[in-house]
Amino acid sequence: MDALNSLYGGMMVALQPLNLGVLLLGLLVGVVAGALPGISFVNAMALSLPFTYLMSPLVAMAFLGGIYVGGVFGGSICSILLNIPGDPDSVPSCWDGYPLSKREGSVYALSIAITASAIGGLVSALILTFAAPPFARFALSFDQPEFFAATFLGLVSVLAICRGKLLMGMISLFTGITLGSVGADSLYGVQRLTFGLPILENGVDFVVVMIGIFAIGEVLEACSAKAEADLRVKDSARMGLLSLRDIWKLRGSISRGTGIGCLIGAIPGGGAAIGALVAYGIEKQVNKRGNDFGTGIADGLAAPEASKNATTGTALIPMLTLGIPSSAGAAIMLAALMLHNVQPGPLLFTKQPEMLYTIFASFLLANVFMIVVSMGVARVFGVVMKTNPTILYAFILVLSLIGAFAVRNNVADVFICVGFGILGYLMLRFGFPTAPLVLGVILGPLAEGYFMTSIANYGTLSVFFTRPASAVIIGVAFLFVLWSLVPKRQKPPDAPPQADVSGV
Amino acid sequence: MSDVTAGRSQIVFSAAGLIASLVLAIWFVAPPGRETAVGNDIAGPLTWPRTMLLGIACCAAVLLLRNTISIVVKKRREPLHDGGASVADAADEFDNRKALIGVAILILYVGAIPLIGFALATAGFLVTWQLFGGVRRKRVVISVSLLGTAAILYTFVKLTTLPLNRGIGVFDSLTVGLYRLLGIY
Repeated sequence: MDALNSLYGGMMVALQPLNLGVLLLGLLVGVVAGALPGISFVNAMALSLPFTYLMSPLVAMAFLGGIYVGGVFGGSICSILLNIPGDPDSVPSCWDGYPLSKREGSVYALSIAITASAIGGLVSALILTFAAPPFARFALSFDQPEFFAATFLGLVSVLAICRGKLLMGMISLFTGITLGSVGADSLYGVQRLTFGLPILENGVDFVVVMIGIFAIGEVLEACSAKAEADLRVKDSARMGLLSLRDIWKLRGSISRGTGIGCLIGAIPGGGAAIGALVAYGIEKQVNKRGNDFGTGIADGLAAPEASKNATTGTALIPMLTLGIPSSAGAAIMLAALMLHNVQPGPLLFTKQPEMLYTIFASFLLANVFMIVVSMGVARVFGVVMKTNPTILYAFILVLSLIGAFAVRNNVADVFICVGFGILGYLMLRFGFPTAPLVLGVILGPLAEGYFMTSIANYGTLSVFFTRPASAVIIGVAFLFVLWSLVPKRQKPPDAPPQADVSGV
Repeated sequence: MSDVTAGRSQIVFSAAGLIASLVLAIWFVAPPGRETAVGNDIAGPLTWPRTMLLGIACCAAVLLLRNTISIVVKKRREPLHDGGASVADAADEFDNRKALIGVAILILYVGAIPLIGFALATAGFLVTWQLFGGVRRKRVVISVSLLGTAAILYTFVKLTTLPLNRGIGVFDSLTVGLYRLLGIY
């Protein structure tokens, strides 16, 4: 009852014109940044952080929260319409979202995405509001071995998706993890694989790799294709909420995705990318049409969409209650709080409950208003898609290179980005899956850090199997690996060919 | 390209991957003098990258073996190289010349940024890319390049204060003049 009263109070504050206006502005910035290939919502949050100096802590959190919620969804617009993920967490959305939009129209595909995202985000925001304390106790029991297990699960989920192309997927994944280890290691400071080049001493940033492989590589492939690309969206990229009947049909994938996302979001080391990936991998295995994933199956889009937005609310639980951010977006919000001398932790719930519940209310509102804002952005995006593909590709390339530069304000990243663009193009041409490489670069350094710290703290490899939570998560990961080794069932002669899911 | 030729390409790539990963793992993971850097009894700073490189080597070796056996017995596999679209099919769908030109334009653009500045390099890139892509109407080419560059500069330099490269010497001055004209400075 207290929680409901507090939430009501928070909602009244969140609905004040200034707070609501800033929230909507943040949503718009987030969706646009997420939708643009090459500019991720993390970039947008980082670039917006200085502007929050001028705001109160509450307004700052509403603004950044809006960018966070909007940005996590925004990447799906580009994934579904262009087959270019706007962010790492939108990679799985390409696999079924793009073919679905080509076959059934962008309205249906985008509507699935926004509905699933809204449901996942709303459930996550409700969990944030009512279950923060018990979740905090659960997260408190997690240590480095559990963090490693969660990232290990994310890594092997990629392999489960590469069934039928396992060896090439593994080469791609190991290559990505190796690239992620370039530079100084976090524990001992030893330079690895730098060949004495200063350009590599700071390592290879995953955003740069992602932009290069997905945006530049895809554009180069499209430009060199003999068949002219048809990027026009048939029905102006409108979207709306699905009907209740359609939602009911997707209830399984949406609820599974939401559950997975809520859980992974609360785990430090989790995040939208892992959430979306694991949700897609699990859905592919449990769904009756799992073997058809990659050809435009609605469940294959709904699950990762629900999952990635479901991570946003629960990602704030360890951040607010323990001061441990579980995602890049949460880390930037933590930075904003600390800039305003607000110290996250258990005392925050007793000293400033009004502010907390206003933040919770803002998150609920963000997931509701995200629907409206996303509809508007998608419509404009659809108009943009009517542009000559050559002009569109040119701006995608320019924005991609700006995105690469913005990571560390270093022109060397631009050169590295182009290098990965060429690599991405060659991988696409020769049939190597690109998603495992990018995900290896993202998750590899995290996994190594958690692994090495676990070994340093506990001194034995058995710690990953003797701690219950870690053992369970690693057990699930090995099940994924075993599943990947099971040969595909032979299809009847007249069945359509199975699509290459990992050919992003 | 026939399936046998595609398979041979795969063999070459697999062999190259195997050799490269082994060479890197043994000789190039760490700077000279730190090859045996050890953190503790179980794992050190070189453990992780070496393990991953050995993983690449193992997978490449298996792929190499599979494709070699297929070539030797002249068995028509579908596809030859571990699932997915055939490389033979891909070769018919793409224009290698266009790809090379596109890559060259991109490399020239990125190479020009530190010298002539982002603004001028971007305007030149937009013109070149449009001409490469077949856009011929002068009005479109010029307006897209100029307006697009201006919009990008205003958004990223003015609004988000991103310090995009201004070039060196006279190009730096030109870029500053352009920023003043656009109201950025």
